[in-house]
Amino acid sequence: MIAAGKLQEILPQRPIVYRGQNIVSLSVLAAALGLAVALVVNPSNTLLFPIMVIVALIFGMLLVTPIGGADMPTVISLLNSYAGFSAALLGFVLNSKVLVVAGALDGSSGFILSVIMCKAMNRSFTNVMFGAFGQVQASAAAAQEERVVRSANAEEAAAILSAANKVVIVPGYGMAVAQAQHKVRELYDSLTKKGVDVRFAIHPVAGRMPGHMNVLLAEADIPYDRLIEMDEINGDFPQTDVALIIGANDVTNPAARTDQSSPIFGMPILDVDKAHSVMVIKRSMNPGFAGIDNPLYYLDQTLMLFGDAKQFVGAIVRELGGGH
Amino acid sequence: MSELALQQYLDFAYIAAVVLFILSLRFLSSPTTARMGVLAGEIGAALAVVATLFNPEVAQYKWVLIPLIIGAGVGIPLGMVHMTAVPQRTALSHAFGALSAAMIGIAEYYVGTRSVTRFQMGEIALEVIIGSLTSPAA
Repeated sequence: MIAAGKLQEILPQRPIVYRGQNIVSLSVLAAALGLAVALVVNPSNTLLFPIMVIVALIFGMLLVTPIGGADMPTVISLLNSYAGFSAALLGFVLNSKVLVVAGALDGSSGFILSVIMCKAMNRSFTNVMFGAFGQVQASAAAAQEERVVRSANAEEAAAILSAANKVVIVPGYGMAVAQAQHKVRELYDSLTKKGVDVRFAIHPVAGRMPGHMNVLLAEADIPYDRLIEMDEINGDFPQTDVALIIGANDVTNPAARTDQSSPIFGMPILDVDKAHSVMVIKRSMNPGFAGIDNPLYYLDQTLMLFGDAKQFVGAIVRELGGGH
Repeated sequence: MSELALQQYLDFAYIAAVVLFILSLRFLSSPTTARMGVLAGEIGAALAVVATLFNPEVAQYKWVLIPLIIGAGVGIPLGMVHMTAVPQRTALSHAFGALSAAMIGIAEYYVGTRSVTRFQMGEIALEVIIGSLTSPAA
């Protein structure tokens, strides 16, 4: 309920943290397990059972409040695996083999997926669960001095794109929010028609759900063989004329490679900064979910395209259509 | 049909469902076969549900059908949300799944309180803890 509330933005996306949080949370979990042991020792002690349920419910709430929006894909996958394991145990209780197998499949595949996503971010499991990722942001952002960004309009963007040979589009959560995937498809079509080679770079944790970008782009009927995973496409960025970033932020942040003090330091990213030119469609200069400033936006080859992803991509498509 | 023969059919249906679940996961791991994977999972789940309805332990269909209709009434609009709302909808599904697991565990405890063994108690306790911590979290 809390994870869904955070994603629906009913609850604040920012991690909610306080001093000694992990100690409090873990002692609540220990209390629930202690009550379980007491019940196993004496199953007829019916008073303990409802208390155990309530303590477990409280631990569930404490578990997710310190986790920020950017870590939600991993956490949802982990909760998926918990729900699976609980179903498998239920299969034992009810003596239902199919429930045991289905629960175990669900549980272990969810768990494997969480581990894969943690690796994709180069962070440990405990760091995701207890690290309260993204709380350093406030101080880091405040320390930034004013730097110059260059911006462009749709007409200029369309001219640059149609002059390019190789374009890589990097979609992110911003594309999902603006529901721009169908406009992106139109952009893909009109660029392909002009002979531009267009591919999509998919970061394993882009979006708010495992495979989020694949699902959206598949919905817009973009061919699967145009969606390239991070490891495969990263080597191609130096030969790429234009990297067009649509609503992705943290997964393109070069600070992850260079800035040791950055909270995302060490996370594998898409090396868009190696492309000849970079264009970023973004609503404003506000930092992304991890709340970290992105040095990519201040590079010489970077052009910022300020606006709603759907409208801006639509405008580029119109310019491309009119200019042939 | 004799009870033994029925049991054999049920076991066969369950094995088929499990095979479909495994195939579904396999298909889901590549975008080109993902749609087939979803279909395999759906058929597997439907097979398991229908087979369970034939289980002789199901004494009264009234208590299966009424919740089924209520659940479908909630589930169908939930399935039609915008693509962009899928992450939170998925989280909600996990929450409901975990909630039902926890509630069945709780029911099992109160039905069998008098005769529950220590081992069964351990299973129920662990299951209820995981289920009830997952449902508010997801």
